[in-house]
Amino acid sequence: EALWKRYRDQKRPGRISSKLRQAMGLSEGQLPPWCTKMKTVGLPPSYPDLKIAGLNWDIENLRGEVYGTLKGPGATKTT
Amino acid sequence: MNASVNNPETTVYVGNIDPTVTKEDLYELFVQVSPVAGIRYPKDKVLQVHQGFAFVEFYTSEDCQYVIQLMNNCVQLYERTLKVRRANAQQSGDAA
Repeated sequence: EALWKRYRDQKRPGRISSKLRQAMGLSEGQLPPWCTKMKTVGLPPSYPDLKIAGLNWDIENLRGEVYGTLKGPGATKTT
Repeated sequence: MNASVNNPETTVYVGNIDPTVTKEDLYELFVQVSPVAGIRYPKDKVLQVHQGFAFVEFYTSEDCQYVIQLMNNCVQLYERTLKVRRANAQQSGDAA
């Protein structure tokens, strides 16, 4: 469906919109709560190229809505 | 009715969701940690409000395991802590 496609295009790992941030009580430039857990649990198996600020990416990159980035082949995984 | 979310091996149950949370919010949240294959987020037929739980399907059971470990009791949406568990076959079916 069209709605689902729009989600896929707009929502990316590493970026959390201000709407969702508000729901989570997370301000801009703040790391989401699961990032600390990733230190013990590990990085996502399906995002081998995921970079997270403060974990495996320079903490300087943490700003605004962005806390991480996903590049490379893992980024466009589809059915 | 909804064939897109039906594999219990790759599906997690998410509970304690505030009714104002949208399907879009859930997608945005879970896509942060694994690619999402589908979401079933039922509404009460009469009241037209969400019932506080959802089923989120991933592509592999490995992803599913990982998400349960990482996200259970981790995130709060509107001050309610999300519960993430393995979905069982009965719950993820349409019969209830």
